[in-house]
Amino acid sequence: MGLSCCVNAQQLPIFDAHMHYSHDAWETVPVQDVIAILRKAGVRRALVSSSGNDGQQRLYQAAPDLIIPELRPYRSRGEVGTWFKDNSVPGYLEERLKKYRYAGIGEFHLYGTDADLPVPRRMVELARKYNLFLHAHSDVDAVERLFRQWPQARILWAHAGFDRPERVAEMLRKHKNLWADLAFRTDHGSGGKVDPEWRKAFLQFPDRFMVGSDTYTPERWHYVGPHADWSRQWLADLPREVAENIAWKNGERLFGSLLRPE
Amino acid sequence: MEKRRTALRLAVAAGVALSFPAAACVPELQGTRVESARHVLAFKAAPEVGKFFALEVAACAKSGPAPAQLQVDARMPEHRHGMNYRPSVKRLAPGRWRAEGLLFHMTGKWEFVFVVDGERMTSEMTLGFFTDTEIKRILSHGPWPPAPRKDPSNRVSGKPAAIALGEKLFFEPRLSGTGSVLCATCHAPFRALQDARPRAFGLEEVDRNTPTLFNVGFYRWYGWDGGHDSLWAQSVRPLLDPREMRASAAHVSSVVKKIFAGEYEKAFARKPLVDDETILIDVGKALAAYQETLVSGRTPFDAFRDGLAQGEDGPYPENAKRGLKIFVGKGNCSVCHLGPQFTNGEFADIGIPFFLKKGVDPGRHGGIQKLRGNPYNLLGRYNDDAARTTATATRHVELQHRNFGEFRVPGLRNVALTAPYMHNGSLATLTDVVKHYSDINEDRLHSDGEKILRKLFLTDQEIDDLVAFLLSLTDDKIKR
Repeated sequence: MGLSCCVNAQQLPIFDAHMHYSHDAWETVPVQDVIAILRKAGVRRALVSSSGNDGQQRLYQAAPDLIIPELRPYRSRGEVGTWFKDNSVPGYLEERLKKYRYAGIGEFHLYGTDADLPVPRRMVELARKYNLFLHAHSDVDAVERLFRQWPQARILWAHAGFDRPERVAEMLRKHKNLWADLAFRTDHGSGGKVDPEWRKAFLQFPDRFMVGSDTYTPERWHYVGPHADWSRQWLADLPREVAENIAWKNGERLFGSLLRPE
Repeated sequence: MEKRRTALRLAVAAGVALSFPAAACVPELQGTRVESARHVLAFKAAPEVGKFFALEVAACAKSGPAPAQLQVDARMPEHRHGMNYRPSVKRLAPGRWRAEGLLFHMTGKWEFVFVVDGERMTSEMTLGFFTDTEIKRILSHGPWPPAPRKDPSNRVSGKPAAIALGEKLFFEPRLSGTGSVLCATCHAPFRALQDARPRAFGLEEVDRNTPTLFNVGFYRWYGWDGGHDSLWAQSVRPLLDPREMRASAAHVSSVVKKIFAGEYEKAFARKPLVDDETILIDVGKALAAYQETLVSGRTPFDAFRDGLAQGEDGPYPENAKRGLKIFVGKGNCSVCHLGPQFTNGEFADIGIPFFLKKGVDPGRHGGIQKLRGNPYNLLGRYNDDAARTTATATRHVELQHRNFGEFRVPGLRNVALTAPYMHNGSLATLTDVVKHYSDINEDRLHSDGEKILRKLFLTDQEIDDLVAFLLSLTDDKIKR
């Protein structure tokens, strides 16, 4: 690769591409605490969604330099398994899109043939209309279906689909507009060492991966710092440029320009 | 004692009558056979209570062409009622049919009724309360008690002199730094070896609930976070915790030398003239030897389970039986609460909040880090198992993001005696625990793929039934 080795782990900024700040977190981890946690953890930017979609706006208003809001198709957290059959969702999304600024739609949970149902189709149309990323917690099948609906879609694949590195690499090879976040998985960097198969994928697609802490419960905001440190540990096992790309540059390149503070 | 031998699987009493002449035809189906004056019929079905099933049927005429008409129904002769659904019959070929839309809504004796070209034929079957899968799961929760087990990492495990010393130490307040707290302060024998408080209180209140010590000898990990990998290392922990017993190795060593020198020598075959840390660890090993003897006795569930293994339906409350069916069935409880101890010995996030007054309790995530940093773990020099086969779990355990907020899956034996519940004692009663699972907030769980934990929407009756089952896991001798 000809890349210099290795990164100074302590100084590596983080672009956290997978955060949630839902209503149940507002009291226990208030906005100012969240901002403090992010800054202390060395998170340079964070892609944040929330069920109900007010949480990320609260954060964005408090720290527009830090927060990049994305729009979730859930009004409450209980809609994870039902939203794709709920005909009121597209209207809700459109209403929010007219009112607020977003970099993407997601994270949404969508698997297999459900991706071709009318509600997800309409969501994809809205993403196209507003030029937004799709942040999909999906299996390979659903990702393929989303691309078939909109071949120019830009998809951030949450958790890299919890799929094997070989399969993830295959998907990245096939789809130039697919990126993957590594949230909530440890198999790529357990014990500070990068897994050989994942290493191949990272070196082959250094500009397509991002890290994410996935704050799906309020308590997990207290894990943002440890997660950033954990990420720095395994990233230190990669060539410097690759580590920097995955740590923050890929996220900054993709999302930073989409939503500059007004 | 009269034992009712019941058919726990489908016991089919086919209506074969000896008075009929030998069959002059053979139906084109391997299955249960029924014979009448004019026809021979065979059918296959695998009904389960409350589930729709289909029936494959073949019939032939003893003389003449294949029968043309078939009607199918089923009834419970003893209850004088039938099914709540009318099945449809589709002809597949001459003499072959498939009936669909049957559902047996109750256990007990059912009778299939076939009408073949106007001739009525019947076949009885007794539908057991538990399915084969459920029976397998129920049997996996025993037998009890298991064979005694010695801990190879503890050279005095099972040694009577060490057990006797351990028992004395367990009830010895002078081991604590203040001389006022003993192991039994929190693990009170009259409270099933716990303290009935939400969170333990030694010298100060701590963040977690006191677990019972019954059956601790069979664990793989110790503590709600699994921060220790042996019972002896875990036994040292509260001695040194300033909130619990506030002692030091030097203090414990001096108590042993002054008060228990003779017992120590009997247990360890040497005088307590070694360094303080070694004596501290030996105290942990003597305490462990004693705690390994704290095995709870048999319960009403065990009697029922053993009977079931013999094909018997022994005396067991009907509500407990219904609760057990939920436990091993739709509740998915036995996925984690498995085996004779009703635990897989590992850790899980079941959606219980884990905030503390300040910050959070990281649970298993912190436990693994504590374990790795603990000089008394099984990879260290105090493990008496030279081959280190006991250290496999410690060597291989992996720190994962999911561990953040995971806590021990507790065993359920005698659970009725150990309220309040959860790692922080946040649920007061067993009913609260069952309701927590029934109404579980799925949004607090990170799941991909099959959902083991999901809302169960249990009725009040079902909640009571599950609690009745949990009550049946109680060793009555402990109650007394």
